[in-house]
Amino acid sequence: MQIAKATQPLAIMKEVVSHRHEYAREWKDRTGGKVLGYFCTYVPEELAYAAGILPVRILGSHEPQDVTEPYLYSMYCPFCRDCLAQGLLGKYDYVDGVAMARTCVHIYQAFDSWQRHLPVSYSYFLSMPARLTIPGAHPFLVEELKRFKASLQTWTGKQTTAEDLGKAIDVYNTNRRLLTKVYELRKADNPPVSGSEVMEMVLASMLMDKAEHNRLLVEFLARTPASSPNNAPAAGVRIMIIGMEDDDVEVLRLVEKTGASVVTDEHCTGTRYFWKEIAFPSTSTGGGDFPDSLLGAIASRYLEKPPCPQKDVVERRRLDHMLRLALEYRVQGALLIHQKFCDAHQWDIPAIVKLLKEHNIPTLSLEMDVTTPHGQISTRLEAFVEMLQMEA
Amino acid sequence: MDYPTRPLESWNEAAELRKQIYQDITQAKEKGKVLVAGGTAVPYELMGGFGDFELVAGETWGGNLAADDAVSTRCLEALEAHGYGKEGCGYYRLFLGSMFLNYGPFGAFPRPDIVVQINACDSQGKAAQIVSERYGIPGFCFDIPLTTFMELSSRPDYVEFMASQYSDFITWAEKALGRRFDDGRFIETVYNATRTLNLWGQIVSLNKTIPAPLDERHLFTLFTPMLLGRHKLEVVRFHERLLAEVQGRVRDGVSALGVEKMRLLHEGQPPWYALNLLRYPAKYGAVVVGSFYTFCIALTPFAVENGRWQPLPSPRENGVVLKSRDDAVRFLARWYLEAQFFKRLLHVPGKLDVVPSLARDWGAKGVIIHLNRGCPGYTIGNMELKTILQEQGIAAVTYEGSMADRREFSSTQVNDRFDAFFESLGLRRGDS
Ligand code: SF4
Ligand code: SF4
Repeated sequence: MQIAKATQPLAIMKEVVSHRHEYAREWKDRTGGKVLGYFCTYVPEELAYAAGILPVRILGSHEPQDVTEPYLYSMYCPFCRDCLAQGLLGKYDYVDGVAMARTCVHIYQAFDSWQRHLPVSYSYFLSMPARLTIPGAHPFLVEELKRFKASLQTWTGKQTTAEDLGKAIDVYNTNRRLLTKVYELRKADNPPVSGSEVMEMVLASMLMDKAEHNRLLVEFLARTPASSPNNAPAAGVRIMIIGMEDDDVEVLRLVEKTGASVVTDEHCTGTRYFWKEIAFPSTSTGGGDFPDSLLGAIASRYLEKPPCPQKDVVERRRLDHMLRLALEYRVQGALLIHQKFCDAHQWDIPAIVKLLKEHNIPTLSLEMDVTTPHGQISTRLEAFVEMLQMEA
Repeated sequence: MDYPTRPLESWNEAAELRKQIYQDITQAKEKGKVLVAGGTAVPYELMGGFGDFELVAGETWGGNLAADDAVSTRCLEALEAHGYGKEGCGYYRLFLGSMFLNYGPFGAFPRPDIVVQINACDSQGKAAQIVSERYGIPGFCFDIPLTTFMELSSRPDYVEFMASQYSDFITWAEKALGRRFDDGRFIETVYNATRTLNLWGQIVSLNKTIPAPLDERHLFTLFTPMLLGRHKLEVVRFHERLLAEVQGRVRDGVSALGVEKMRLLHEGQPPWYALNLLRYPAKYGAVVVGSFYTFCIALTPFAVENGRWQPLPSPRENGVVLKSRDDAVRFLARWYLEAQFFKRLLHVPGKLDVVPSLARDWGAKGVIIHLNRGCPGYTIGNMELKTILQEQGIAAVTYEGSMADRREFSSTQVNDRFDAFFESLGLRRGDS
């Protein structure tokens, strides 16, 4: 088993990412628990975790495939097709159930075809609001959370208590706090951790038992100085990654090969996943009026976290989060990573380019398919970074 | 088999009405009306409470633009020049392109007063945001819950959710427009709009008759007044006359095209620049009698019992009196949520259930499915749909295209596919 080989926290997390399926199978053997594959960062994982379930984000493999053609038309995004392909190829055969919270129509179809064609004993679609700022969104989401919780209980045959949920929230909040600390390391002039390493840490968080992940993060932070030694190589130009689903670590490595550093991001396998804790004051009391107070706190977090473009309608909130990060991390250039056919993101691109331009942050758009044309991307990245170096 | 046929007498009236509606839109400001930018599925009955208004809707505006190659290309290029990609709703891309160009099918793009949208499909809310920012005008977006449920009775909170948004909207629009909301006018608008929708439901239901009095090509042209002006008395009256005419055609056995060896359904929006595609099956003696899209688009309410689709009566016909604003708001919330379109739109299990059901009830032996690159929203589930139809003994063929962008469409390839499909169904060219 590969997972056990590494001893350093970062190396363990990297191994979990590259051997994610082995990790989940091993977790099942160890705990006898169920695994829930989830399709979007709006799935309130805390509820599953509180029920003793391991939530695992369904991700693609970035390898060519042709198994989804009978189910998903080719105009839907490469990410959603890659996710479904992994299921159809049997890579996720340990997944007992699947869940989806409403986001875009692309990934929804992958979810639908998954539950239609793959053997799962549980599937759940949560009608996450699509406009998050209206007064009715909170009570609506609380009702949705109640139904989700009840359905998980039916599936597992176990009641989730206020204490279970309080503990799960605590574990998740801790994870969010620790990941934020890891991110903050890259505020330094010479960050002691690279962008590609941090992305693997976030990915590991989506795949691992969060309590285990927290232990690794604590250890990692304890061993890692706040910045690289003074004689470490300079960080190079400071890059931010902006997009939708960007789990292709290889692209970040290509950026780093140019001598630049990826210092922060605004996408759903980065800050949009873990940003904002659940405002719950106590870990164990449950507040006395379970479940509403807890579910209300969870609902607030999912409504208030940095929104994905699909949900950022009328009054824009996404840009504020993006700009705050860009300024705090002293970003010099931004890569707009765009999954081909991702309409939700494309509608935002002109507003993003305009905003960053107003703050003298040049942008480069990169379009992603299931496989990344690395040669072509490298050339464009090198040119972009050279341009930024000249401007610096 | 041959059937008698004759042109639809209401055709010219429909064309005049469409022309009038578009004129009203472009002249709304001059006539002191409120001009709302949005989409065809917004609950604009609510707008009726603010007095006379017109709606410039992305879907119909885009559909009009799509029919003209040169104009649509200019609009798409204008949008791309503003940094937008090729993804997303083709209608809204044309609509926004037309806005950036300040040019449209009826002259300059009319500057709206407010933007009102729903966020059922991902493109709607985002397009509304762009219009609102372009003109610096207030915008409102209704959230439509999407779920895998089918029966509203299991989700009473959904009605509350919609009703609360309608109330929020009234408060918001009073401020945005500086006008007071008039409950009486609102209720009258609800009565008119629901009456039009019921009439439309009755008209399309007559297409269950053999021979079908209308075909899908008719429906795609006839539905504009309902989409843009269903609350207007003249539109109600037009639908009453249209219903009477179609009933007469049924009585006299008048068919849409003079042939009907086989009936088909279409799934999805048409390529607006190639509408005659819908008449191509007639070369084989087949007729396209409708689609979920044309039957249900403006939220035409149907009850479905034992596989039979029945248009639901409007409140007035049903003896329901809407006594107060709250009454009407709740009624509207329920009406919208129970509309087949919202229950099944953007909802794969819904679509897989509804299309075979329609095919059976309208007697269609096959379904032509548009893999529409211009509509990521409504095209969902279409690959699964083909399989499900075939499993249920209903023939299905897909064709690739776009409702809005001719560059995505090859008529030769599509015709070849259709030829092979019809031949596989035992039809021959020239059959009648
Ligand atoms: S990348 Fe875009 S289109 Fe694909 S699943 Fe994510 S939001 Fe949807
Ligand atoms: S469902 Fe299709 S036509 Fe309607 S707004 Fe969405 S993309 Fe456009």
